[in-house]
Amino acid sequence: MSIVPLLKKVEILNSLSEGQLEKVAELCREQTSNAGDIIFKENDKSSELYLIQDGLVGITLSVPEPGTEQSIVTLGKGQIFGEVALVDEGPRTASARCIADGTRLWVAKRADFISLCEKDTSIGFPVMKNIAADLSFKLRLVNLTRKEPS
Amino acid sequence: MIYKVSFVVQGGGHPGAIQNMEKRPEKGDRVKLGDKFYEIVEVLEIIPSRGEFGYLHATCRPVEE
Repeated sequence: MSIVPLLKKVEILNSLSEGQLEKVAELCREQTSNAGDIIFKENDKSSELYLIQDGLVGITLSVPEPGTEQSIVTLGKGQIFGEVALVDEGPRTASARCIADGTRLWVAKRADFISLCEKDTSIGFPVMKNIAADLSFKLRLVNLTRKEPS
Repeated sequence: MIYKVSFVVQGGGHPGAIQNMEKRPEKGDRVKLGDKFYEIVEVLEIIPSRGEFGYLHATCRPVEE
């Protein structure tokens, strides 16, 4: 199954041609997860970028009380996660846990993705610009959530 | 147009969500975030559209079942 039609609807790949999307598609493998599955944990070493085809993924942060977590955001169809580590190569800044059965993800290895972006800057530049916009959008959501009276 | 929508729920009972929608959400629409339904009470364009993507922010309230 080609995932190019899905990739056309992914914001970080906005403005890429069909041929460029084919190159990105070659890097991706499919993964299905169920509610409760941990995709990665905060502070884990990071090596992959994730795209949600269907389903929901919760992003959480650990809090000082042992064994407890704070939900930061729920991500649905068309969203990416794991992109912070893609940019800075640091450990995971948060945990990702599947919260809907049958959640379908596409996974790309960081090294492969970065290699493609470096080899073909007509892909790399717009993708990095779009990733910056995606991070900005998420930061705006956090700011708006904090302003919402509880 | 694909709308990337950030949802904030009034009252703080939900962490908020981001999802892509192919129809522009409007005030009064009901959306499912996780396993619960919420009613949209306000929609704002938070940054200008880029290419085929629109960027919206929706404030929601829990729907009384």
